[in-house]
Amino acid sequence: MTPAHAPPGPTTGPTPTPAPSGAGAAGSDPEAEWRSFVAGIADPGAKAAAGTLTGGDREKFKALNPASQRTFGAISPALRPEFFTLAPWPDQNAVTVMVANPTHLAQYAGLNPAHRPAYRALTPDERGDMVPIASTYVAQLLTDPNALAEWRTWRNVAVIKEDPTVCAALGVNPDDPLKFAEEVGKLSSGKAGERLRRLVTETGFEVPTHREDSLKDVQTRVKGGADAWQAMRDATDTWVLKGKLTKGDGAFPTVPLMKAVPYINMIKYSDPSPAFVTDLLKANGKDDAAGRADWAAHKGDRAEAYFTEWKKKGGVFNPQVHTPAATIQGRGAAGAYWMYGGDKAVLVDPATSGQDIVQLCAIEESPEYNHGFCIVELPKSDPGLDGKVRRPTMWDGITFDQFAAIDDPSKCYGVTSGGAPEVVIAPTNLSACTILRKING
Amino acid sequence: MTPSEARKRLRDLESDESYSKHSDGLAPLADGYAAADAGAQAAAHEAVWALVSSGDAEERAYGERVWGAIPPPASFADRVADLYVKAPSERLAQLLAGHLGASLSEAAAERLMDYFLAHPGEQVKLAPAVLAAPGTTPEVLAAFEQLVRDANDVMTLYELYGAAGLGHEEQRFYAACRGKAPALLSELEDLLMTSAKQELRAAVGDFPRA
Repeated sequence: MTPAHAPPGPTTGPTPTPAPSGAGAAGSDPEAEWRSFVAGIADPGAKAAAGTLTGGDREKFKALNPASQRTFGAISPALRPEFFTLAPWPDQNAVTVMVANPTHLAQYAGLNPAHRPAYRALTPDERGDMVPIASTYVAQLLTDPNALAEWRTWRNVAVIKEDPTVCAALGVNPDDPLKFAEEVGKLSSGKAGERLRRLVTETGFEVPTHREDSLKDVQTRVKGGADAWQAMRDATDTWVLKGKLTKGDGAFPTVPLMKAVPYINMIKYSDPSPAFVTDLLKANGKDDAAGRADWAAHKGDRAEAYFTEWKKKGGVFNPQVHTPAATIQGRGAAGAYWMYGGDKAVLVDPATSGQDIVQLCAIEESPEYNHGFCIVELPKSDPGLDGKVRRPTMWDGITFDQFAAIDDPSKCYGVTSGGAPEVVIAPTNLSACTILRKING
Repeated sequence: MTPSEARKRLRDLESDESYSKHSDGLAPLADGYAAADAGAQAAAHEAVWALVSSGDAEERAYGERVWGAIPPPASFADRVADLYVKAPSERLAQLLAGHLGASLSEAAAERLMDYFLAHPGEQVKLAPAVLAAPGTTPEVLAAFEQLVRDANDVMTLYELYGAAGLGHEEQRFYAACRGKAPALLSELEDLLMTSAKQELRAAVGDFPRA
């Protein structure tokens, strides 16, 4: 299993839309300006859909991030007014994931609009299992949380009862169906329900018994009084980075490991060089004791504005000098997701625009990239690298709702729903990476 | 507090919603911290302290990364400085630059400066902290000047430029830069804002762009 989508950015503020060719040339004629904007949209579906818009819908379309603009073009006209009202994350993103599966999208379109929020909150696997269900029962599941919880439990029961190893690990007996369901139900509440199913069907562990061991760990925590989802969260640090080593893939020595890293994250979540902090403060007239204390207390709130002002005053960001302590990381001990492969030649080609790179790296929904970012590569010359790069297991992606399954147990890497191979790597210092390209620093 | 209790305390600050929104692993913690009350924030810093002061190498590294995202309050200054003296790390040195260094007690600052003078190999990393600290001694300033004169790569020179800014010793820094190769000064200039570029040229004299 692997996340269906790269972790998105915050919902605040739209990503700028593609720069239209000839923008501004239309002067103050709104109609000509709109035509010029539409002409600059690269995606044919989004362009066609935009061409039909009138009035205030045009501004709403402009405010969508590029990924959502493409989704807008891919959904039926009947769904479009509602789409404008959805939050970029997680709701528009959920529709974007559905676009990749026409059966799910068709079911979504056929729902009572009041039931669609609950459908958007499902995982792709859950949507898949709802497709064959009668529409009246689907409506009940989407409106009654208890019915949904029960359905999730029975989905897990169906999987677990077929797996004697899991039954033994959990100490449950399928021959006693009511007791069996009761025990499985304790591990299936809320968000834990789908995660339990992912864990039971997970085939990506380097040590196969880690599946049962981690199941028992969760069960022990639940027996100790934790709610199932809390138990999984608490167990996560123990079980991340346990997937198969990617070096088992024959192409490993030649496949590049790359990642797009936004500059603003380096400033917010690592410790910038003292010289850079001083200059950020100077650029904003805050280089005094009070300004430094304020920076320390409110760094996350100040970083974007201070960085913008510093750039306006002639600063050009150099990640390795300005933020030498930056780390590419997941939560706690967890690894970060990296591209396994990808067209390096295209990414480093100066002819490939920043907007193209944003699309290639699937980071269009993340406003944090708007402040500039770099493409980094982990050098294969690192002698310890082959012991660090792993296939993601469900534990590495436990927080991602939009998951797609990997059924092939021999795979040494994950694949996004968009088909891009990816791996997880433990927290990595920026200084260990090669910067292939800097964009809009 | 054990490291494991500390990790749980930090994890409990993260919300599922925040986690699903961000690409950086520390963002949910930073969000949760920002939304927490003063008591929970103080408890979070004590948890980080437990990790950096008594965790294993991985736990300490994690704690230091967390403090990169949510810098410790000034009340931790002496503890961090004394931990550095016992078990130095680059990240602790960096944390001591800025408001922590400026908040050191005179006694802790003196201990840190003694350490600085006795450990030439760590002086570049520690220079921002000792120049930010109260009561910087003439010996420390002399050592700093020598570091600037000896610096022959832009990373080192930029770190020392930062130290100078923290100690309001820019003119001492620029004076020690005079005579450096134009190529090195050009590299330094590329890292600076326009106003600092102008200050650099005014102080060291004009130099050709490499």
